[in-house]
Amino acid sequence: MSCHKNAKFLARTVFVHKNNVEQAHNALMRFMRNDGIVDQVRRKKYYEKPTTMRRRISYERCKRIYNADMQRKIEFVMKVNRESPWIG
Amino acid sequence: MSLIRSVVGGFRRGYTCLFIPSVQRQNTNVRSCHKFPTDEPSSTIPQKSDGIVDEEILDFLNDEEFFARYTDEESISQSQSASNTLDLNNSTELFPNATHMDMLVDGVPFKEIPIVNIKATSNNTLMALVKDNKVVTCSTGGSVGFKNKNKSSTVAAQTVGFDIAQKALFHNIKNVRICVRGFSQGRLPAIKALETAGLNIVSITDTTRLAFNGCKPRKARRM
Repeated sequence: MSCHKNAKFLARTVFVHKNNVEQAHNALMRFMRNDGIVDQVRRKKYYEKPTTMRRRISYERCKRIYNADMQRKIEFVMKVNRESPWIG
Repeated sequence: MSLIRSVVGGFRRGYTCLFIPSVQRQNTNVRSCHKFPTDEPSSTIPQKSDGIVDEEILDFLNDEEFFARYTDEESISQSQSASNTLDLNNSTELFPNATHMDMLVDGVPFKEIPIVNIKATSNNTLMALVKDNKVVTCSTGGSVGFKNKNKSSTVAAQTVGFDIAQKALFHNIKNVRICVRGFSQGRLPAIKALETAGLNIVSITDTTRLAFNGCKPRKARRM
């Protein structure tokens, strides 16, 4: 189908619709940020010491757990269409 | 935000030593840390307040046509190859796949459209126009008249973009694909300049080099 030289156009690529370049670029950056590519490039610029890496991974793990739990709690508090507590 | 703060209460000090035993751990390895649970289809099914899923909403599970639409790959590829031109003004597709490589843009297959390679580093912006795997022209911040610190500015990146676009139009190249490398400040102005100078940009690709535990990077700067 397509030769290996065009393989890079299958990943990390967006089409530009109606010559709206900025929108396409923003979409690309958003997906790359969600995939962690931007973070990875920034982190690989300088050597990260093993202690720093361990601290960072631990921090990210705790933050993820905390955020998930907080999201659950907020959803519980914000829930509006609960059933009426008054019977009859 | 105020709600979050009020709920957070005493946990405001920091995350590093925080452990909440009541939560089931979901994504504890490094690779899965970017997978957000919102992508799962189960979260989109609205539920009643007591946790029971509304049965009317789940009717599509019995609908065979619904699944055939998403599972039959032949029908998908046929619908795309039926019109062999890539009309980006009317379509809503954002990401290319293998079938798009042979589709035509102004009579040229997508995989043979000339490429503008942009290398946006923190100190300079370099661009090269490639057609049929050969470099047609190239341009840099220095070649368009900027010196020293000015080469790293956004204005320099813009000027390089205009320069390349003029040269491309001189060579009768109208449609281009863009490959960008690097996340510096000259990245977006360079792409925008190509568009304002009159080139028709078909796609934007990111080709930033990614090291998967490659060579050891240089020592960290100590500010």
